[in-house]
Amino acid sequence: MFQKILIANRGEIAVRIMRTCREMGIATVAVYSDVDDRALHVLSADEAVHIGPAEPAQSYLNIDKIVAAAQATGAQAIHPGYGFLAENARFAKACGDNGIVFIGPPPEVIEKLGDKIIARRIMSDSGVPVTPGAVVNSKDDREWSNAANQLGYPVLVKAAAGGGGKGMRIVHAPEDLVASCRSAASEAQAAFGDNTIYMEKYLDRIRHVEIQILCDAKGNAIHLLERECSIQRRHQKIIEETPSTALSEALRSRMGEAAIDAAKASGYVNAGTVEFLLDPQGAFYFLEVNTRLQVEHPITEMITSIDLVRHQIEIAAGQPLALSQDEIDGRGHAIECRIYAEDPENHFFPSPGKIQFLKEPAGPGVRNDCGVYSGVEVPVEYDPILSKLVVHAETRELAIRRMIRALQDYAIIGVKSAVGFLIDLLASESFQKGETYTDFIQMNFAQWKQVGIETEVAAAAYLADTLLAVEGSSATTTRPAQGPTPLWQVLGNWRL
Amino acid sequence: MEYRLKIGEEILSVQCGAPNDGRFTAVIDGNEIQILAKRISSHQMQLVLNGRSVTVFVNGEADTKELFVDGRSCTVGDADLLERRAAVGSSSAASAPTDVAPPMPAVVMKVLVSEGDQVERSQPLIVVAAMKMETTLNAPYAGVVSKIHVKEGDKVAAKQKLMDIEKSEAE
Repeated sequence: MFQKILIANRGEIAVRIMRTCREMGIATVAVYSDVDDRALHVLSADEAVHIGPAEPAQSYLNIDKIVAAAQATGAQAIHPGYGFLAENARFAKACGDNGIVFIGPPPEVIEKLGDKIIARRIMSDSGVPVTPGAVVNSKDDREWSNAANQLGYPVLVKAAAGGGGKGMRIVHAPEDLVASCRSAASEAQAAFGDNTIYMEKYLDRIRHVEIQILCDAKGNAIHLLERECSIQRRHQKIIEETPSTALSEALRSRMGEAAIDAAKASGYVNAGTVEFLLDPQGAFYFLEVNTRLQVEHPITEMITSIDLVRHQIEIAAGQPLALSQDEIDGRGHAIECRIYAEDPENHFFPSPGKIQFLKEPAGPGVRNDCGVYSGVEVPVEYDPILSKLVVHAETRELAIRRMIRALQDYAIIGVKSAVGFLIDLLASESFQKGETYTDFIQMNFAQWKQVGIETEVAAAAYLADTLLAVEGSSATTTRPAQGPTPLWQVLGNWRL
Repeated sequence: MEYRLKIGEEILSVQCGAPNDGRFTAVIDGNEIQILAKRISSHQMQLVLNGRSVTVFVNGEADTKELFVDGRSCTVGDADLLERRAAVGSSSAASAPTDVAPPMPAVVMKVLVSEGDQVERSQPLIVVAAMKMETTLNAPYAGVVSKIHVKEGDKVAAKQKLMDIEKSEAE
C-alpha cells in the first residue's frame, strides 16, 4: 500500500479524499495556488506544495508542476479528484511515465471514453443501447441538416470532447440548426480545444440515471446501484438521490448489467460512472462514462456503506476487488444537495466573496462534505461549489424531511447560495411525487423568488443586532470586500 | 427609539424601548412584542419573541443587515439611512445600468475592441469569467470606445466600470 498520496485538486473533494487517506494511515500532500494558501484542503493535508498563480492553467491544470510536487515530496500515487486533470489522459500517462501511480483508469481508457463519439461506438458495438444519434464530423451545413432531418427535431447538438453542458444546444427548428451548430462548435473549441460536434435525438420527459461501477485490473467488475441526477440547472446537477423512484428491481439489474458491459467493453479499471438517459417507458440509452470519482458519489456511499475512495486507492495499489456483486445492497434512501456560491434569483450566477460566517448542519444521517470555513475567501477562479450536503434515512419521505431540516440548520453568510431554493424544491409536490425530469427546475421553479423571513422576526433581529451592538455586533466586523468606500459608509450611522 | 425599517420591499414603522439585560419591548407594525435577545457571537443571536425561540444569523452594517433564519434569508435596512445613501449615491461615480460592468466579481478573459473603435449597440466588447462561467458584456449604445480601464487577466469587482464609451449623436 502507498505511504503517501498527492491530491491534485482543491476544495471539498480534496478534503474528502484526505479523510480516507488518514483513515488508511496514508500521508497526504496538498497542492495549492496563490489564492488558496489558506484553503481548507491545504489546512487538512500533512504537507502542502505551492504550485503557482491562481489561473488553473498555471497551477491545478499544470501537469509538470504537479508531477514535480509528487516527486519532491515522495508521493507514490496521485488522486485527481473530479474536474481539473481528473479526465486528462496525458496527465494519467505523465504520472505513469514518472513512476507515480495515477488513481483512476489507464490513460488509453480515459482517452477512448473521453471522446463521446468513440465511446458511443464502443457501447453500441458491445450491445449497450445508445441514444438515436448521428456523428457529424463534417463542417458542412448540408450534412448537419441531413443528420437532423433523419433524427427528427428537436435534436441535441453536443461537443464530442464535452462535459458540463459546454457546447450543448437544443435545436427545435431547422432554421436554427446552422447557427446552433456553429456556436456549439466554437464553444467546444474554446473549452476543450476540439470543435468536433455530434447530434442526438432530443428526448423529452427524460431522467438522468447513472450507475456507479468498480473494476479491478484483474477483470472483475461490479456495479453499486444507481443515482438519479435529473434535477439540474445550467445543465449541471444540483440534487441527486438514490434509489431512483423510476427504477423497478428488474430495470435496476438490466441497467446495472449494461453498465458492467460498458466497463468490460472499454477495459475499465477503478471507479467510474456510466451515465444513462431513461425515458418514461423505461428504455435507457448510454450517455457517457465519467472516468473518475463523481461529485455525487457520497449518496452511493451512504446506502451501500462502502467508501469508494478507499476502494479506488486499493485498486490503484494493485489489489483485487474486495467485493462481489451479491454483497452490494442498498439500504434506505440518500439525497445530496450541492451547495454552490450562486444566486438562484439571478440565473444561478456565481457569487464569489468572503464567507463571513458558516454554520454546518449536523445530526443523525447528515454528512456535509465541505471545502470552506468561516472567514475564507471563495475565489473567482474556480468552480463555486462550497459543500455537498448529504442525508441518509430509512425512506425517501424521511430523507426529504431530513434534508429540509439540515438545510434549515445551514447558515452561510457573505456569499449567496441556493439553500432557500433547495428547501422550496424539496418541499414541492412534484419533487415529493418523484416527478423528477431533467427540465424540472425550468418547468417548476424558473421564476423562483426568496420567500424571506417573517416580518416580526426580521424586525426584532434588526433591533436586537443594533441594540446589543456593544458586545460587538456583526456591523463592527464587516466591510464590503472591494471597491472604493462610498461617502455613506464613511458617514456611518449618523442621524439628523 | 423609532425606526423605519425596509424589509424586502416593504417599509415598516417600529418603536422600541431601551434593552435591559437583553430584554426589550417593541411595537412592530402596531403589534407589541416582548423580546429577549442573547448575543451568541458577532454573527449569531438567540431571540425569544413572546416566548417563541428563534436562532438568527446576521451580517451587515447599520444601514442594511442580511438575516438568516431556518435556511431563509432577507435583508433589513434602515429606510432613513438608505434614502440618504441613495441621495448621495446618485451624484457619485456609482455604476449606472448602461455601464460596461460585470454583474459579479470576475476575471477579464478577452477585450474584443480597442480604444478609438466605433461600436454598434449590443456589439460584444469584453468577455469576463467568474468561477468557470463566461459572460460577454455588450455595448449599451452605439458610440466610440474612448477609454479601456482593464486588460486581459485583470481581476475586477462587481459593477466596476471596465470601459468608457462616448455615445454617438445619432442614437
